[in-house]
Amino acid sequence: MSSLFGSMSIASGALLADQAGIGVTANNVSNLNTPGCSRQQANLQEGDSYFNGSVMVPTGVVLQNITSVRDNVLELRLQNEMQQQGSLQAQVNALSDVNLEFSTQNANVGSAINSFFNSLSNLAPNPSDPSLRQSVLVSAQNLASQFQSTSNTLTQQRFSLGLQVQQAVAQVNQTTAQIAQLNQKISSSGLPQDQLGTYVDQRNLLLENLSSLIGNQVVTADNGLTITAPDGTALVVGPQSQTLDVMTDANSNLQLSIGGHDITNTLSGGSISGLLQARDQQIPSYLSSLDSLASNLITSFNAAHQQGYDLNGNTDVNFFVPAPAGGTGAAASFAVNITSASQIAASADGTTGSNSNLNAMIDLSNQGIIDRDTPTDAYSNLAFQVGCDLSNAQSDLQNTEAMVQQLQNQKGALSGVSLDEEASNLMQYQRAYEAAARVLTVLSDLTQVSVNLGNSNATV
Amino acid sequence: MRVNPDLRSALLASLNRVDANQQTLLNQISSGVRIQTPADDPAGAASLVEVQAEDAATEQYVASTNVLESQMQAADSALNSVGEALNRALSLGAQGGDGTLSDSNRSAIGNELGGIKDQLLQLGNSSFQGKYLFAGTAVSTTPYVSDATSPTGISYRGNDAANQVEIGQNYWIQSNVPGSSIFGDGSDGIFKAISDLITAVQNNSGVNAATTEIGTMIGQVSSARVQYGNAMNQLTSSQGMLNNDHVQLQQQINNLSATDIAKAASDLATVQNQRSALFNVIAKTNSDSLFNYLP
Repeated sequence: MSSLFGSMSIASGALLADQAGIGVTANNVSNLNTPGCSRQQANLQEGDSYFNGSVMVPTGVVLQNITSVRDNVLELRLQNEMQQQGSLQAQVNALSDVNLEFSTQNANVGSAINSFFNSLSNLAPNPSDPSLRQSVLVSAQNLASQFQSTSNTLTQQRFSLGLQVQQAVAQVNQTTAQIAQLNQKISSSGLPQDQLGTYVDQRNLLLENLSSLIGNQVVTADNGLTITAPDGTALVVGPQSQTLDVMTDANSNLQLSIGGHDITNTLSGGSISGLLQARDQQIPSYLSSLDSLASNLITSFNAAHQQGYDLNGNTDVNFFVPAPAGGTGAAASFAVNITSASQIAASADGTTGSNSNLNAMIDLSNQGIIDRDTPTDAYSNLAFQVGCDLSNAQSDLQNTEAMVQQLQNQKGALSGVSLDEEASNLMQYQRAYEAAARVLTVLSDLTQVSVNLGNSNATV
Repeated sequence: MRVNPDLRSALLASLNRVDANQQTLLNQISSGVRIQTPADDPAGAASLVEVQAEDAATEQYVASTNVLESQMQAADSALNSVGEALNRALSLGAQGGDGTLSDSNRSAIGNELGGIKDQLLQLGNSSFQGKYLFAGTAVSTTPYVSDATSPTGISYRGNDAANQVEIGQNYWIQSNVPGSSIFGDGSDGIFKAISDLITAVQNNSGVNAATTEIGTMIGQVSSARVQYGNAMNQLTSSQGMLNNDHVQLQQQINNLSATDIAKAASDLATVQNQRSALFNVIAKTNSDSLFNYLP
């Protein structure tokens, strides 16, 4: 038989346990809007009974522990999906500005090419007319500026993307340092992870941030958490974090490395990977197509122009400044070589009014001078490439965003704080506390009675 | 089973998507253009580049035909005057062949013929907008100049070249007839014929032969006028085809790039409904929980 005192200690144990429950509820409610916070629950257990010789004596309730409700596998899936999202979002942002440069709503390289060849056609009936010649010169100069400006915009975009990568790298390093600190706290506490609610929640939030910045893999081992780059190079091992470095290599591409080990080519996921894709692969390929268009146009046009005679009887003169050898940079340096309209070599034989050489130059617009494409075809292909890259990234991003939303929903379903649930828990703990308090009061009275047994003078 | 108690983030994400759709539709309606950047429709944008280039070229061809038309009309009108002058010379030649004419009559005829020769020289040097029409491609050089060394006193300083101009895809016409083919080079052709007639009338010998020469020259001028006439017909028919092409190409451009306003407007109405529905839902959720009902 348990004694009165024994029962009193059971009742007071209940008060403590219910207090703990109310405390957990209060914590959940106050963290309703805290990002990344998982709900906690107080795990109450029956106390161990002991054998007093005749019966098993119960010992009431005990607070076993307070655990967080979360699913680690779901968390990993969410982080993986966020890596995808980070990469695609960065690409979409980077390529949107590029697409504007090729919009049909403004003047672009394609429309400048049309205007230039049309100004030549306009000259054909009257090859010696000074104002028509002047129009050709002006169109040519417009063409040059358009090539230069498009090339500059692309180069500028690469520069600004480079800055963004540097910022992202700085953020990665901050985040990994913080994760390493949390790893230290978590492993030195000696408790299992589901009982370290605050630290683990904070670390998960940091891991999600890290995932949107850079692709990574997470491995949980006995000595804590290890984070590696996609090729296995360690970024964080337990309480130690490594620095991610970025530098520009000889080809003006960015190189990322951890402790001297180059991880650029194996990087995937995260905004850094998306930025690198745009900066060092997609935009350079547009520049290369633009340069090819520019340099082939310049070379073929000059070859035709050199055959003819201008109004001063000169021949073998370049119309455009020759393109750089190999073609790289041809768009950025596109310029008209002749300085006066009388230098346009329209004539095939030196006579003032001959337009045969002009016709040869006009015909270039129909010839496959850009790797078997006409100038218009080459520009059209480039516009298609630019549009496709962005359009594909946009639809992939939409799909990924939907997936992230779904995973976050699942996470919320499991770990999110529900006010209704907390209110109902609060009521339960409150009632239980009140009941335990009442039991304690009765037991206290009974103890009083029992202490005064046989004392006829005692007042109860 | 538990459901996610936080509805807010999903609803806000939906609201963002709906707002983005609204923005796109507003852009399309206000600019009238569906393809703002290549990403809006990559294949459409690529086609648009080609069609726009073709349309610009077509409009250019039309402009060229207009210019050529004016040039050729000027040339043809000059040749018309040449024909009239030669016909007058022809009838003078017929008169001059009459053996009964007096010296003074013959002298008068000779003078008039001299005047006609001057007129023909002027007509040979006709110009249009500052360029000589009958100099071949040497359009800044006076084609017919006085030259004492020439038997007719006139020699041709132009050339025999003719320009070709493209007036449609791979459709070329010759844009001028060199003076040498019409008037001759000074030592032959029209100027020889008229000089011969003047000499014949003065000397009262060989007038009939010289008059026949004039007749031949009238034929030569007619041939040239036929050339110009044919060319002008080609210009007109080309203009007709080019205008049709332009209309079709504009239609293609429209189909590719113009916003279907009716559809966009109705899509916009749908999207705006979605927005107000979302606003209502967001406002009503999260406003009630069990805490409000605790005693």
